[in-house]
Amino acid sequence: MTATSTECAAPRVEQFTLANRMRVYVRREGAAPLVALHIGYAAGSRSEPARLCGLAHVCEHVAGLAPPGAAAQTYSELIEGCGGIANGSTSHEQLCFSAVLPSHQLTLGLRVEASRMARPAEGLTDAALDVQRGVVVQEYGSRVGNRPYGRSFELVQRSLYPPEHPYHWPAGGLPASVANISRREVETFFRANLAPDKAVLILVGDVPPGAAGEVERLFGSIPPGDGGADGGFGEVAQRPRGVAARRESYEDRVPFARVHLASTAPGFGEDGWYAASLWLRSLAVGRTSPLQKRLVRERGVAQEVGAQMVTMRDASTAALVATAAPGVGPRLLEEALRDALREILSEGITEARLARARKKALTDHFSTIRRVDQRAQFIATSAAFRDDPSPPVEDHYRRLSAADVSAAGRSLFGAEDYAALSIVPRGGEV
Amino acid sequence: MTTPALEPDLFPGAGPGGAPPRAHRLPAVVRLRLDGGLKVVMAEDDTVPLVQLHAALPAGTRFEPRGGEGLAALTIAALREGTARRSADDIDEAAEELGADIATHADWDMSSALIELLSSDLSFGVELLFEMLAAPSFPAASLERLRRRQLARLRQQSSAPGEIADRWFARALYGETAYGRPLLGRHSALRTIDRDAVAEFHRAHFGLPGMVLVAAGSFRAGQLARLAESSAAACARAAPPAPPALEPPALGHKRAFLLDLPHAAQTELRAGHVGVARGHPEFAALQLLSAVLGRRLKRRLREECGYTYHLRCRFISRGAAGPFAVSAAVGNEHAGETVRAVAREMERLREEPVPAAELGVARNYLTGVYLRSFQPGHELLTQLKLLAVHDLADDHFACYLRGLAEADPARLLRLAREHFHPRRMAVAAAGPAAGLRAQLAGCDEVVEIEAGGLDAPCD
Repeated sequence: MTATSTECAAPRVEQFTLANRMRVYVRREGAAPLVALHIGYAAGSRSEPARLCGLAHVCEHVAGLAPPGAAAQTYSELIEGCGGIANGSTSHEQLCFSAVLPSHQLTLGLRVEASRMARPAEGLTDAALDVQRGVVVQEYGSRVGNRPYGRSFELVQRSLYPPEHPYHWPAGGLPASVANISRREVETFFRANLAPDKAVLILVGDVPPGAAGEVERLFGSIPPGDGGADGGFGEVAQRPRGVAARRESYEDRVPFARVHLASTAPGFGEDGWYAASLWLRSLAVGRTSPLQKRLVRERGVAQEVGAQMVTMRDASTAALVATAAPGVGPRLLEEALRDALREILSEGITEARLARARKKALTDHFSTIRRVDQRAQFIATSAAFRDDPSPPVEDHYRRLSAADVSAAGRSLFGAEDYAALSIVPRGGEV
Repeated sequence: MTTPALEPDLFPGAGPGGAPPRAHRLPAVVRLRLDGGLKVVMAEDDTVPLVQLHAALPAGTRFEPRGGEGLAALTIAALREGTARRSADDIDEAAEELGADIATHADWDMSSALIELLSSDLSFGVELLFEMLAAPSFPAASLERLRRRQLARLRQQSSAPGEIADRWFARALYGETAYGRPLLGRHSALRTIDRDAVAEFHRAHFGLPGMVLVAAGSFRAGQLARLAESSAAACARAAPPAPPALEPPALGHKRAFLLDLPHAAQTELRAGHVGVARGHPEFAALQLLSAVLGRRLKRRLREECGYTYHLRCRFISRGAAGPFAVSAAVGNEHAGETVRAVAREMERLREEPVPAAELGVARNYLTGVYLRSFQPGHELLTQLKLLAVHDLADDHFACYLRGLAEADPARLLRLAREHFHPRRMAVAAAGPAAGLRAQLAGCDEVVEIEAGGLDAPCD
């Protein structure tokens, strides 16, 4: 029988907590003998001092080094050597390590994570730290510094969140500050943050029957840290409102101007988050969407226009992004985008357009949970941020009316207290 | 149709105290040839209620006439701009009503149209896909808009260091042959392509006999086959022309293209030479050889030196001999050392057998990668497309795994001597020439491309 409805019958997520307060979620499913392992620590860039921007990211890389005497130089090599794949990531909220393994190798994956948690900087030398700082700087170059428009998100965040706000500085760090991070600072960060009470462990897939016992055996003896409020994330980072209509411009080696209008939105999983997500989709996704019709097809001022929402725990960044058509300057594009936005806000969202946005949101959601590692990541985020490993995504979307979604849009952009950032070709040529 | 389970000991040396390995099962693939010659390759998967439909045709850049560079990309994009029955707006409205995604793409060998949608809307997806393929209307105003967009995208690519390096690497390997051309075409050619050229390209290359339909997701093969047979009936029956021969220029020495980007934060490097076609009987063993090389380079250049974040090393799948390429973005001051490291490790693999333990680790890694590529999503679709496009045998997946399992050090040594040519290699380096010139002096020839020449590099 095919999955003919949009409801996806999901296996139950089992949950337990160790005595050291590490939370564990297990979802047994799937025919393939693969298991996804994902561990997230409430230790992203919000856990680092602003002056040490990039510390969490450097720690992610350092934590990938296997301790002296291990069979390989890095934990990734150990996992790859048994047919798996491993990865690490740093966001504003979390430091995450993930792997997909043949299911009979789960114990190896758990041992890797337990070792990483218990002794993350064991044997770290200044030379080894220097190498990892170099890798982080090159990562910045690949993802940001050497890409056209690469700094867009970094600049939007800087514009929306005040300097003391943990979402102000980029989670990946900046080359200048990364270069100054010391071994002592890395060791201090690990002691404070790589602790079981700040971790959620997710296992999804062909999880062997004895997995819970293995988790207890390998992690149970690791002492908890200080924990901190709210799952280890600390105090809620208040969502700033009213950026006083900030406008900024930045030159880059690009052929066309690009304009961002950005506002803060509710954090992941809050009711307002779903509404904002639908509003953005209804505005800018698809060739028939109001923004694309107005700016690309009717006025011809943009060659592309879209919407983005970058989600954090306590707030999200909602942005409308338009790339200028050849010969169109940033001012004209920005005015056109603002005009279109005003019109659409005053018209509101129709039920028909909402229905489309809802359907698109669901197909997008399904496509992001197709693979076993994607499902593990989704559970990890939901569990860590909202203490709910299986949020009823479809229900959330279905409950919202056109009036709710229109109100969400007005909340984001109605008062015009949003930020405007332009990326313009260097030398002003368009 | 079911496929037998693979040997459970695909990963010998089970983890300490681990349960015995469970056998992997490759996806059950259904292959059909429908009336008119349409080849269909499908795999059912009910993980999520989505279905991906991918139609591919032998209509890539390889088939563009001289002076028509960009025609393939323009033609496939224009399928969305209306049919005999529906306008572009009708197509967009209908698709967006269902939350469906439509995408088109031209690569060097094939052009593709893809629809992804909820499985409950399968019949709409099949019907629309074949309607676009069979009877596009190519409105003149839409073609003009697409042309402008393609020209704009070419300009965008000319400001992206990675794209610049890719483009010149292809040029270095393949010269003026089809694989050396940029996928989006050339400014000079794009400006002259008219509606007649697009319509003729469509007529010549979009017939059923050359077409493959690949489908993965939550559907039933019988239902999809019936829908496809019915919807494809309107497609033309012209047989596709044979692919033109591809004879890349011989590389007699180590030649570097230095693309000057004075303010680049890092250098995008591509190094390699022409490799083999996807149908090569030892493709699996060659990928294993490149995996060994890639792991050695990553260990040296990233883990020991911190020169790079990401490095990729592979034989690239194409209908004719595709590139063998090492790709990395490195610190500007380390580009020369990186190029030397690539050549040195390739040379080493030609001279010394890979130690058995190292080979075992690389084999496990690559086997794991391969098995994970059958998870639902774009990876599975890619595997099915390979079967269809390259007409690979039904047992190809199992043969590929066997190829990995059976490749021993002696075989890899022989393959390295036959297929790694570090002294006859092309290098493309996109970064600040002032600092790179001296670093690349070890190459037999260095061709410098000034920044001003980059906007129309292959014109």
